[in-house]
Amino acid sequence: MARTRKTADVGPNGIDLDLENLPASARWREWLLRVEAVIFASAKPVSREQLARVVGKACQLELIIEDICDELRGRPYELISVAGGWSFRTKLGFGDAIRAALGGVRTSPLSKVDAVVLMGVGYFQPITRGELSQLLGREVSRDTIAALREQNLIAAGPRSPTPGAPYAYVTTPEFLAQFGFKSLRELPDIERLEDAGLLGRSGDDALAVELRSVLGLSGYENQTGEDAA
Amino acid sequence: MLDRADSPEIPAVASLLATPLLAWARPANPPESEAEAAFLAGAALARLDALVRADPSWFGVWRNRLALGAAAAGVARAGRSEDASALRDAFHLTRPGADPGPAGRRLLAWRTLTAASSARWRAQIERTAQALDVPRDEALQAAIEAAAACAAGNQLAPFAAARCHQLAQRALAPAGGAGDLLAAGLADTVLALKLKWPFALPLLGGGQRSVVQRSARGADAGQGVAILFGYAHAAAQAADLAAELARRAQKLAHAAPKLRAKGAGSALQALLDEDSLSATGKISGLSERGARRLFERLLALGAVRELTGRATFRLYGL
Repeated sequence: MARTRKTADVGPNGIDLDLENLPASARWREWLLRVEAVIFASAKPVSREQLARVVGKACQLELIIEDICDELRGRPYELISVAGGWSFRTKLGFGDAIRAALGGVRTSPLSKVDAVVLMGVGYFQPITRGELSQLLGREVSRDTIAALREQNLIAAGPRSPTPGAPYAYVTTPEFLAQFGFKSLRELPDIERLEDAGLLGRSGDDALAVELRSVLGLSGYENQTGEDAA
Repeated sequence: MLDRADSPEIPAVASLLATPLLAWARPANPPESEAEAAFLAGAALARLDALVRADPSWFGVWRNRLALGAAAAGVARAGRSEDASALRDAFHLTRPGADPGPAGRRLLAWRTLTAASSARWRAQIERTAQALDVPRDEALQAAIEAAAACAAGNQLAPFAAARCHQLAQRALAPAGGAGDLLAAGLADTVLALKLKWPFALPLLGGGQRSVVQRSARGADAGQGVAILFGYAHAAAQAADLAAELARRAQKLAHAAPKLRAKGAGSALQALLDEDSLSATGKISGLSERGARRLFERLLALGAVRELTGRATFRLYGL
């Protein structure tokens, strides 16, 4: 301890964190470049703790992030806060150009059924496959669940205390990152569902029907029952 | 811990702690003045302080059940339909390391806040924020700094907590209901730091919606009264729960000599440490079948309760 206090604070891999030999503006610049490089190089959103490993204690990360955002103003990509960290994203308007050049690499591999099931998990997690089937008014296949798990968008959460102890599914941080949500509270219309007291486990069928109409899913069901909607 | 439960001095401590909070200290109507509110909060907090320092054998179950209550209140306030038993299920039926879902995460957060040492409160608050889906940003840092300042200041404990609640709530206003809850958790942390408790108890965090909301809306003068009243009310409830648990722990201690199963000692200790137990939860020295038989025997003796009402996936607790 005594030794590190006398010399500058040294981070993992011997990086000089405090940069005391640099003038203030150059130090700030170096910190900013380090933060930007780390976020650029990472495939996943980078958390505050991870960034704190490359800057000095006196450094205010929020101000660094703000400065980077300012610098990116004219660029086609931006720095956004998702899933408890920061990540670079191309700006919305360039989706078509990217798809035209790279041939749809960036489009989501989710089918419509996958997407609806994913939405069901997002709103009503933790929820079992059986409960999802009841909610959506049609059988949700094991394959759909497996496809979503494969892509790491959902994961097994608690088991349900019902016969067979099926797993209830929850969304992952990867789900938040892919859809650009900071937290589950950013899911569209979640406040309407909260106000209606619908979040959490859904038990009865009447509720499921009401819910499908709230979510605009009525057209999606196979069964007839759309007269209400 | 268990030895103490068997020793002759425990009835004395238990009877003291099992005495309900006296009627004069029990807030019937919302107090008019800050002085009245402060008096009630002081009386109720003094009782809690005595409880915390007595460190009774059933301390673990008390803390965990208060955390469960706080989580259930928060989940209900967030517009979700899970109740306390659904939270218990999420807690017991999630494998270690797996995500128990948004409601279950709240329970884990409150358990962290109450279980670990209050010396590490900053990290605990950040974890609580994560569980409550509050982004870790400047607003959260500002709220944490406000709490640190309040804890280090010269104000008396409930006033420092009230001040912290006000500042944190202002800082966390963009986070909506989760921000309100976190502000309450920060106020509870400040209270614990001020009273030099080894951990925070979820008092304002588990408190009624009306108290927290009234303080959010009311003028600055009224706000302090509402928070103090909130503490008086929550502390009285926590003392009631403690009195009830003391009685149940005594029943359990009376049943203990009738048990002959191997590993009964560790099972009894686990019942005093945890809000609820399942037979599959690893209890040292007991097989799953042995644990089930033991819990059913205790149930027959009236020493524990079955908390779910189910025939399978049963959970037992004081």
